[in-house]
Amino acid sequence: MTQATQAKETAAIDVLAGGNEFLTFTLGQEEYGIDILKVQEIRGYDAVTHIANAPEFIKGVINLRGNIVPIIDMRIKFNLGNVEYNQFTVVIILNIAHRVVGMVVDGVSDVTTLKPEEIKPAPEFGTGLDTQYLLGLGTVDERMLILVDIERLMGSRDMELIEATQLAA
Amino acid sequence: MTIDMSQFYQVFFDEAAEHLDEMERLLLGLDVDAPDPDDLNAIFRAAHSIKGGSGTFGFTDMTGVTHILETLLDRLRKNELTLRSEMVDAFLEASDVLRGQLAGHQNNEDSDAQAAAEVCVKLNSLASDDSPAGTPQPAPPAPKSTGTDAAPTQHQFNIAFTPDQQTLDQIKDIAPLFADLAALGKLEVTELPAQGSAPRSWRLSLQTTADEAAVNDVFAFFAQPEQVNIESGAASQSAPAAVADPGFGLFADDAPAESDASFGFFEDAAGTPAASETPETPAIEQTENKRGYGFFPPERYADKPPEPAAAQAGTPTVSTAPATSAKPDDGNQPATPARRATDRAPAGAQAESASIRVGVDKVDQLVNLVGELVITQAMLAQTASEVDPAIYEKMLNGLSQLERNTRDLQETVMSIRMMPISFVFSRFPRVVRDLASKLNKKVELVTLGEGTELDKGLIEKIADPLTHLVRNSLDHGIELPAQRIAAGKPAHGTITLQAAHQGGNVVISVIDDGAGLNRERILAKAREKGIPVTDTMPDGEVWQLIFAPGFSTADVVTDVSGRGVGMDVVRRNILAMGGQVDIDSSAGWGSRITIRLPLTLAILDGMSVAVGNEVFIIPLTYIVESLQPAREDIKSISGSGKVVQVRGEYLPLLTLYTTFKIDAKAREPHQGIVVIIESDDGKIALLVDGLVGQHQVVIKGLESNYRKVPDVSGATIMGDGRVALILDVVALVKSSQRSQHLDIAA
Repeated sequence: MTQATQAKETAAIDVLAGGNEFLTFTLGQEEYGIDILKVQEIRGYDAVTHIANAPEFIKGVINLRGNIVPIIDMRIKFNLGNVEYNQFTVVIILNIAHRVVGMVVDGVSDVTTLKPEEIKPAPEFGTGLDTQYLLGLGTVDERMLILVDIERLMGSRDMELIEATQLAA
Repeated sequence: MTIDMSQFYQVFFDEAAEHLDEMERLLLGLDVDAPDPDDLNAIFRAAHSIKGGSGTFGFTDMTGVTHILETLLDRLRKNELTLRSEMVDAFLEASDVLRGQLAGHQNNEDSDAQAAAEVCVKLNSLASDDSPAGTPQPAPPAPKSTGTDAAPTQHQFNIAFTPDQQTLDQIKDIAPLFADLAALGKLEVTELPAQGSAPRSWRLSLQTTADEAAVNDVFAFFAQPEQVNIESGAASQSAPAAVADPGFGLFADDAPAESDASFGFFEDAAGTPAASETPETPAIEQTENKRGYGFFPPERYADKPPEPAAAQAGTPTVSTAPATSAKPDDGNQPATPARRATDRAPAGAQAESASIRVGVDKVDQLVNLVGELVITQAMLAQTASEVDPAIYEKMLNGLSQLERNTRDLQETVMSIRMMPISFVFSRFPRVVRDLASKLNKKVELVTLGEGTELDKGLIEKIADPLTHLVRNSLDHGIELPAQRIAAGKPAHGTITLQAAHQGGNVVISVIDDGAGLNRERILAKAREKGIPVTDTMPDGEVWQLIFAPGFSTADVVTDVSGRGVGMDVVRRNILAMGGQVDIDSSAGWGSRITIRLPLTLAILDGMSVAVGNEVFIIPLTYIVESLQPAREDIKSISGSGKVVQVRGEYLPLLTLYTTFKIDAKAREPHQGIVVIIESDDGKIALLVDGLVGQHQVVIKGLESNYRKVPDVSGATIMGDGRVALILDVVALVKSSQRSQHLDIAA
């Protein structure tokens, strides 16, 4: 929580300076970045309540201070990394379009500011992650950062988070 | 007077809406042949209160309509006219117009001026129509009171109207005043104010059947009483009214003038006993004071407890002593107490339902907070159960008290949002009455279970679908009287609206004893529309077809229904509320449409059951019993489906671990516990590992952050902070039956 709050504060400053702040996290060997303003908080992985007949990557729901929040394991969704749950497993709680969703990742690394010119468009290639959900690729200290349009991704049909009828509307 | 009137607008809108509702309710309950004088008085008072309020706030269009309405009502009340059903119609129409005007003011839009004008003409013609042709009407009986100036004789009033500049500023336009006067009778302006003369003054001559009080009343909304001087001219009446009095004339020493000129309705207002003049609580008085603008307080508060007379009025305050003791010169002011005093009986009844208006968002916030509190309390209780009761006795006592208090608090808070369904049902007598007369059908409306409470949000949302269903029943269901008699049914059709709590649901039924749905026609229509159907479809599925978009089997499209838009919307709306619609129909006997709504925000009494590592909640209302079956009680059908024999009954067995794909401890029925659950569709046995306990749980939707999960109606948070899913018993029973059908088919 405090991480995110601090991050938001610095984000405000950087937006003024003309940059976007991204929360970077790792999935297997890859590094991803998402818009920090979509992040509500970061917490550890707790016991989840499984939901029957849901896709495997939807781990279930948790109680987040009285709200029932679904938890998605991105490692399963994109076939990355070893799927194990221990005290280091991190859940990023996202607040997207008035919905709260939790996302399991291997680890959260940093908050990085990227100027628009530092973001390159992503090339078209076949991956588990459709390029339409990518904002682009960023480079930080020789490392490549995959910038994900997390709002679009979570709202997509692929994630099966939202009722198909609602998507159509 | 520089008080900002707009701050009181909302109060007026709310009050006026209440008065209109009241008026409509009374009108509908009115027996045309023998109207209850009390009801007539009550209707009159409602109209009068609206008039007063609208006058105060300068909504002259409403004042105009109510005034004419009031004039007619007044004459009815005094037995000068006999009530006829077209009058009731006209009154209802007028109340619609008023509603429109009210909405117009509320939203700052223009209301339908033409409708208002039409209704005014109608009312006027009814009012002036003393002895309508064809209606053998006895000569109007002499008014009960001693005053004779109320007789429907022609009066000639000479009126001098000398408003001061302040009044003029408020009135802005003098025309509506004259229009109102003209509505009373023949108005001539005999003298216009001289250009630029300091006190502008009008002299008017009015020939009218209305009494002086009515004339005074018109002015009461526009001007201070002392600015008006009314003299009775060559009136063709026998007893001289107290017209020479330079003031209002209301409180002249002579009794007749007082009794009748002050509207006359206090004397014959059902003989309100003087004993009802009990002192009000100061609190109410204060409120009244705050709200009272003080300009023309009498009418607005006609049915409210009195406030100290004219405490805020712009004119010199007079003594609040009983009106009769007031000096004639001051007479115009204390009209208020006199009028109110006699009107207090209904006020007493209203005081019991005293209410405050609070924003729904505040209530919702309260509900949420209490929900959190309940969860926290449950967590505390769980933690406390692990400590040594001997050492922590005091803390445990405190905690159990906290539990009781929390539960009480929760129940109370939940009940704030609950409203009786009569709020919806009350509109239907009108709907049915109007529609039945339009369609030349005779229909009686019966409402049952009006006290059934459901969430306010649902109340608002259910009104439209329900209206549609009632209209449909009336239009398509109930036959014309001739057809009904031919079918051996009473000429009067009956539509029953019924509401009841059933389990965790509210069940609302619309039942008619009409022709029922026509299976053949629906099937034919469905084929025409290209919907796949078979002749052997069960009735239930055939009836569901009418919910398809654009589906109408009506022979003739009327402006009531038959266009085929609607039933699909009805169903969509109800599904959106988390409810469901079912139809039962029997040709020739009628149909029943059942709406099943969840009690949102309800606290559910549930049984928690364990399956593997998961805990599920089964709503207690569905549980018949739980038992541990013996091995020989389990039978299998055609190898796959299993049934449990319970007291001679074979129930299909649903293994929860397969439904939810859980690694359960009890894979065989005799290792676990079967819970027998029952819904409308039948009984099934549910295999679980074990029973955990009974809880009250707060229902949380899964949909707010996730999506609907099959066979799960929601989730809740358990005492340990974990999430448990609440089983959708109805869906489970249905799905078990469906799979059985498949088994048999295979």
